Amino acid sequence: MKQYIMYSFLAIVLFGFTSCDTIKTVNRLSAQPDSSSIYDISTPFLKAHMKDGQVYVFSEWKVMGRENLIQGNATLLSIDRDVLKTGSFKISIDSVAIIESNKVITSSPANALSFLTGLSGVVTGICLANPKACFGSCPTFYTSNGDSMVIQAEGFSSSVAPSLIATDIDALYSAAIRDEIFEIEMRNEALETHVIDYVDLLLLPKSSDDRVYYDSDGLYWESSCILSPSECYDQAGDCLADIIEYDGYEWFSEADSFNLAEQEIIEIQFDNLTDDRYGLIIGARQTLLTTFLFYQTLSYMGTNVGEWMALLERSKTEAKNPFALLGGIEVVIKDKHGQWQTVGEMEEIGPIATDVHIIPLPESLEDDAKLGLRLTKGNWRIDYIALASIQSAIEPIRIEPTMVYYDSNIDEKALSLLKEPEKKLTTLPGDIYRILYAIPDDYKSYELFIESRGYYLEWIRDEWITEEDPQRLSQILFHPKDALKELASDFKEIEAEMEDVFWRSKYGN
Amino acid sequence: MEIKRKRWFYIILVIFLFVISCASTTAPDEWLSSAEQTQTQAYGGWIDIELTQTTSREPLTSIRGELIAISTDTVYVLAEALIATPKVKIKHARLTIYDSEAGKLAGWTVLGTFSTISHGFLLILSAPIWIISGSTAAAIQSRKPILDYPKISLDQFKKYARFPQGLPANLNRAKIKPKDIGL
Repeated sequence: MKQYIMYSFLAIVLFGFTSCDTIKTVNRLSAQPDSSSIYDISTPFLKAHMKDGQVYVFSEWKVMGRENLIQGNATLLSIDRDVLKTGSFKISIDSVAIIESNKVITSSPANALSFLTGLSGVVTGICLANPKACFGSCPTFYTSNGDSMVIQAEGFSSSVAPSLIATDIDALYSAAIRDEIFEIEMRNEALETHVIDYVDLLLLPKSSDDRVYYDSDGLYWESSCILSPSECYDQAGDCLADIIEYDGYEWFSEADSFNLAEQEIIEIQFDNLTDDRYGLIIGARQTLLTTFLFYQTLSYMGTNVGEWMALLERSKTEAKNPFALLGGIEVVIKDKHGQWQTVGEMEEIGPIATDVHIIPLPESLEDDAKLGLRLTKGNWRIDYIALASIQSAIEPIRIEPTMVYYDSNIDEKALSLLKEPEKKLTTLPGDIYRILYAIPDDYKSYELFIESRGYYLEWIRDEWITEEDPQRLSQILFHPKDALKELASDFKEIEAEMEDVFWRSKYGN
Repeated sequence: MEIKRKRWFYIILVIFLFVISCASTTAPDEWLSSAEQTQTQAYGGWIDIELTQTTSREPLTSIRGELIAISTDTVYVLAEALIATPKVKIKHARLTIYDSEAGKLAGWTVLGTFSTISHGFLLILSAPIWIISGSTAAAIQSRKPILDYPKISLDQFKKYARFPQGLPANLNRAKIKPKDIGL
């Protein structure tokens, strides 16, 4: 397939540039023979229309002003435009009625298409050179931030088969709520089939300026007091500026060159802690390391990808989960012996939307507690870290969709599929559904979350399965620790450009 | 399936855009020379004339053929024979000077649109760009060799006639030969 695409593209380029070379336009100049400007030596031919209707077509010529002659090699055409004679001629300018010259230039529309072909080729090249960075997604959810629709969440990113159907809860942390109708745009932005059981809105009642956070045990915590860190250090040094605001500026590190499972610790310091109970807020998303690993696994499955996925679904293998080795973001606290102890973990999956989670910390946190995040190098992009005082968990109010639009039309069928428990909405690449929810009129007193359930199926692309390699697949599935070391060099080759390619290959960017 | 509907939509859109946007001529196949060939040939362009009909008994409503010459008050066209038409009778005229080869751009556009399959999901953006840019380019190219009267005066057609200097005095009007296109 990769070769087929490359040959097809080369054929288009060849066709394009051949066409570009032959598609011309002509500017004709016609003047009385005494007009000196008509004798433009840059035009390859000059026509002398004689008073008797015959024409000399000069291929080489010179004007002999003193003698009032045109001299050169020409073809003489009759009134009927038959060739009468070819050779050297010397004609009197006085006998010429009209002199004509034609300037032929490459057509500007052909030039424009040449440019487009070049641009198109760049995109083709990027995607062919790095197919594992292209196309990947999962259901994406957009809401208004007050100015425009922005991506807020991605649903069930790890549910790549029916048996892996999962529920995902994401904070709509920067959604702007304007009235009693709240809109979510659900898009299928990849070459995938999405099967969606439901997409519900969760409302968490709160005081006006408070925020509500979700933890990995499924509890929601209201917080009125947020503390920013006073210090943040990683192996490279101070990283406070990257994580102190939820602003899109992310901290990230590079994967290890020899072991993709190699971990690191970010140390964080908070001042002025009180006796309150705290939770650590983390706003983060994954890098494309897991995307690479997933597509690489599919590549090694090759033409047997269907059988392998079915085997894994039926759990009829002893395969281990290579992604488990990469892990989540562990929250650690340094004990009195100077050892880091894990107190919680954030396990959000997905490289597209930053999700905000809270990890409740032990109740008796010492004033000078040393906090840290232990995570796999090169596997995370962290936008925001803060500490929130938390009191008690609160319960969400579930809101089902009240209306669904597809292509600007009300889609009753999609609405019923999202609402009826036994039915599922199936979406294909390019589909965009606008889902509307009726929320209470005191909407400012709620924090919004989205809960989606479903799974998706990757469209296996031919360029992925050219790397079929049962041995290396076996290593990933049964000896993932070794595989993560073996794959390190492959990943490092594309790591720097992968994020850029990924976003460029997505619709709308 | 939605994706299939969209593919057909794009294909139909390409064809529709070409059909509605490209300028046409009634010149027989192979009659028009390429832009480069016009440098060495000395035939007139192909003209389609629509006449103003003042009475229902007038035999001709349109004339098409090679533009031979234009005088002060008359346009000479070589159709089956040389026809002299008073300028005042001409309601509309279209002169095509050379073969625009817009069809090549159309083919290029179709191939380019199909090539976006290699762009993955980005084809949702790149395919319409190809369709719109390609259709526009083909439409512009198809109009490059065309002059339309009354938008452009007939005097500006003169230099694209077989005899831009006017009809030669010695011309045998009954025996003038049409362009040989090997038919």
